[in-house]
Amino acid sequence: MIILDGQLTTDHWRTVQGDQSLPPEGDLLFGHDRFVANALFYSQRPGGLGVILQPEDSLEPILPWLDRLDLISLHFPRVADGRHYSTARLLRTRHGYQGELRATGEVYRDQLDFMRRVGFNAFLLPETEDLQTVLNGATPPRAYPDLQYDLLRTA
Amino acid sequence: MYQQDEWDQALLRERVAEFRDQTRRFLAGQLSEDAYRPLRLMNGLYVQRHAPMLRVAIPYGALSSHQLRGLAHVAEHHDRGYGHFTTRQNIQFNWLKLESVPDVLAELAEVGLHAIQTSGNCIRNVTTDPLAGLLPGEVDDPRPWCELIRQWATLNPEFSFLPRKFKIAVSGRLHDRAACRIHDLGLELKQDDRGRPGFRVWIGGGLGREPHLAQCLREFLPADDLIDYLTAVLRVYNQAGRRDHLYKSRIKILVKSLGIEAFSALVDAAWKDIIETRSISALAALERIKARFVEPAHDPALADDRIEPAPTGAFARWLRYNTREHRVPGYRVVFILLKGLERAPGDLTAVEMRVLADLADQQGFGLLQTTYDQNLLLPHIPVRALREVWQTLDILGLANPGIGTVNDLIACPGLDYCNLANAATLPLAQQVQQRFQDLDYLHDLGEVHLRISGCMNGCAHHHLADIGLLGVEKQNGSWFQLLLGGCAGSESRLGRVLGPALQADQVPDAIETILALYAARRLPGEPFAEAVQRIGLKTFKETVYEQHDHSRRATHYGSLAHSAG
Repeated sequence: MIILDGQLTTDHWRTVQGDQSLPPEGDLLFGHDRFVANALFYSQRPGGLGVILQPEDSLEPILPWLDRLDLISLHFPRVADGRHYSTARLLRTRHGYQGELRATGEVYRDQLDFMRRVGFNAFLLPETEDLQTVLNGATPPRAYPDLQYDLLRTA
Repeated sequence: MYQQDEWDQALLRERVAEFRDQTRRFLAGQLSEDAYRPLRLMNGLYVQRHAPMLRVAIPYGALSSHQLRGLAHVAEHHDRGYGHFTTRQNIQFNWLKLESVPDVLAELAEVGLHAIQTSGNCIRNVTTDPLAGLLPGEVDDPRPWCELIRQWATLNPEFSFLPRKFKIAVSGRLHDRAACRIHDLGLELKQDDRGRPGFRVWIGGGLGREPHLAQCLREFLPADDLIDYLTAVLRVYNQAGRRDHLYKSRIKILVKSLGIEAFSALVDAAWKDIIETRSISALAALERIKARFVEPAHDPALADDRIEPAPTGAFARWLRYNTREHRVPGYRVVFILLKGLERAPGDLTAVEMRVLADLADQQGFGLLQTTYDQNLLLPHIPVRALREVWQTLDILGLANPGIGTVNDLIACPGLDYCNLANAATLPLAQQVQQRFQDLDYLHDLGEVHLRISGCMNGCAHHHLADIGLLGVEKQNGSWFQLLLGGCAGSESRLGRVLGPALQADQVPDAIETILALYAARRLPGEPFAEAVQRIGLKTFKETVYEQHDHSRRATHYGSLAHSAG
């Protein structure tokens, strides 16, 4: 289960590993290198198309495909690695990405406010987190949104 | 002083509730140590040698009497009856219980104080000149800008998980008393040739393991662009700063490795993006913030006040050294020296906090100010109240007229409190105070800044001192390296190492030798750091180490550690 737009939802995406053969159908999620190498081909097949970005992956080769991408999944290897907060903001503002923006990896309830405010709308939390509790506890964050380029309407 | 509104206050209460829940989950075993660490750090909570240490933010050092009483309450009910003011104008409590920290934060929130972003890898408390807006001839007041930066930085979602901590200082236009050039980012208020407001921007300063003076990133940034530009700088740092090595992750390392031109080009590109997508007017935001700054209502009728009868003796000396002319006639700025024989630098007891809060209420509009050198100010004291204020301070033992002298030394908490320290700084501070008791001698020497750091992280900023002492790692007790000739301000210079480290007990002798040489060789009015430049480090070195060779020969080598007081 994932949290998508504030609701619990079944995750219907399949992650295709680097050496795995291409499944015939379905909504497929690729790593950065495999996606970049085959983007034209993948973009023409039916079904949803998504890419996973690590913090060190370059955004440039992804940019031509933003209109075709349904999901960009930004992976957080550690809580303390905050590079993807900037990635998310850039995707939503400068590059105008409209699709699902998902946070994965070390993503706990305590980071979700920050993530929503830079443009994430989907979260894959570790199994240790009780999703219903997380959803119940979700309140609009209070900070200084007018000075922080917030992408979320706040209280 | 900035008057918080309902939004500011609700934000504090919500953060306390959030941290209470996080601490509860940690104590119940639902949050791992690793997951809890960044959360507690974001709330100013360190786990130290004896107990958790809580660092409470005092934004740009401005403190109300009401808030000081709140701190007194915490010191009395949750700590051992005192607090410790730091070089970043904050206050630390060293003896708290982890379980009680949420209650402490709740009590602090009631008086508008908090510990948000006083540690961790985020944008820290903004600091400024403690005399901002107080002295004659200073046009620009950096404090509303500090408040704007504070709001922009508070829980900024993009910059709460940076490669490392990020410290910003803002200085007024005429003098840099905020040490802009040793901060990750320094802002100096200035005007362009058409009189429009803006900033000179400094980048990549910092002390610690690899001391660097900041370089100029932008000679003139129009004031209205401040928020966009800061966001651009932080975005470049957040994306490109190193995260693989603790000691390589400050922005100074990034600026150094890219070079200032390449770094500046990245910032300009990010800045252009922000302007094209969504720009925020800093001046419009500043107007909103300025409207919430309430200035004390000085009484014009006091303008011609004189002190009657004319001051003499200890009172006159205190007036001369511990007060400054105020921009408003009839008032003076009063310094309170938080150093002394019985006082670790920056310490203040709960009882003292209450008396000072009352004094501020009775005579000084309820306002106080913390300083970069671990002292306090009463910023607006009527001339006619000075004698009474002095008497009260004297009863507290806080009227020592030693501001700016060797006794006004800065020291980090050192081995007694801190996990990182190599050496005990507080006993040495006390030895120095004991050695230099003669006020006539100290005042004859004039301003000489002495700073003691217990390790190379340099919390006492020993690199910028006239005489800097650095605790180094050695067997058998505390050893200190001596640095001479550092100074802060726009013309900042880092002190240079004098020679091999000395054992703590030898240091007061060495300082005495150095001061005697300075007193004998200085030109009229020549400051210490300039005298070191002119006379040469070598002369100081030879004199100090020659003396020590004598003392070594005179006493049995090895027992030297125990030979001095």
